[in-house]
Amino acid sequence: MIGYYIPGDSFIHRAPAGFKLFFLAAMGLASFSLDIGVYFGIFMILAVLMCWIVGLDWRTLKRILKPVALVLLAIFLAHLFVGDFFSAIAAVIRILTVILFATLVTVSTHMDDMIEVFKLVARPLEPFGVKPRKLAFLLSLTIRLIPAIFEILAEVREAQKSRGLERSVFAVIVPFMVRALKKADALGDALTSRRFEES
Amino acid sequence: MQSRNIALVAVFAALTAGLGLLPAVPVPVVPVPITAQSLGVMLAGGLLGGRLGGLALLIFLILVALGLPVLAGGRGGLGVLLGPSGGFVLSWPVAAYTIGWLTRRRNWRTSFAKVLLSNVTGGIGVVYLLGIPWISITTGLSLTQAALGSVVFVPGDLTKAVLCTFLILKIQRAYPLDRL
Repeated sequence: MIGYYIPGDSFIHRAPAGFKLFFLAAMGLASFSLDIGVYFGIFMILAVLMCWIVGLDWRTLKRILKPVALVLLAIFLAHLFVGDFFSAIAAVIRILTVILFATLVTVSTHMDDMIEVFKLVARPLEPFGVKPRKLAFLLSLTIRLIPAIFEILAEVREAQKSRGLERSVFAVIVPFMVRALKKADALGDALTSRRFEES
Repeated sequence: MQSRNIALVAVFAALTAGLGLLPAVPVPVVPVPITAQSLGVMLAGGLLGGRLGGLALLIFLILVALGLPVLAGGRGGLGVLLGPSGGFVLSWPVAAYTIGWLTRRRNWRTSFAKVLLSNVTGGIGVVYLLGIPWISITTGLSLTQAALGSVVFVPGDLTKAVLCTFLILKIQRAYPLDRL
């Protein structure tokens, strides 16, 4: 399965997914209202400690944080430019802490549990015609379709390569999109024949 | 919802995720990379219309939040959404809805200029309108600073809007999605 999930049995793994997401949301909100970086220094140490408990090794953490590093550097420099050194450090610590906690949730929660939470969150929308069960189905269907989409792209590329057209944007994307749309139509028919609309 | 629409939404959400595997181009100083993924936003809006296109991007957004590495450069997870570039990603469902809504007005979708105008309004206007304040909120930079930093992306985004306009018109001719 694609994703960042790390199997484990720590208390963070066992905590309900809904609770973890709520905690993260609260954390995110607090990070905007509290300007004092010192508090977040404490939270950050806590987050690093929790990463260790969850079983996040340094390599995986580096893989996740590498794209963020450049962003943080840019923010640091921008703050240094308009403010002082202390506020620049505080800004970086604040953002890094939220990112670490978000990573913790992502890494310690299985996809199925996440989808369950979304079903729960979608429940108040039921009166507006949103069916949580169908939303969950749509999510799993999309995840299943990602490799299928790549397969189509690879086939079209190969076909156009034999015509010497693999570098032409239109010659690849247009047939690729048409085949993706055909795939959607076939999928729709399959769903209809299984009486999906009445379920 | 009709099963054909469900299938179309899933295919376009998956397609946007697939575009994320094309490598992102990082730009110095500005904390947001240039990606091919915004093509997915314009294609979904332009081909599916507002309601379905917006829904496709909403599903994509949920996948990102669930922690699948479907954003450009294999990124994903709540950390990205809460980070400085998160506002741009969060704006995509609204952008796709706007593009779809505009192109469905008075048969705009057959005219190059009008499809282009829709793509620019939704794919650039709406995205920047939501993305720039988000940079400002998350980083504490002023709105002007955030906006100045984002100007770097306008040429790339304009190119993408033109490319997408050609694509939308060609695909519509090759495989008309009527009854939408």
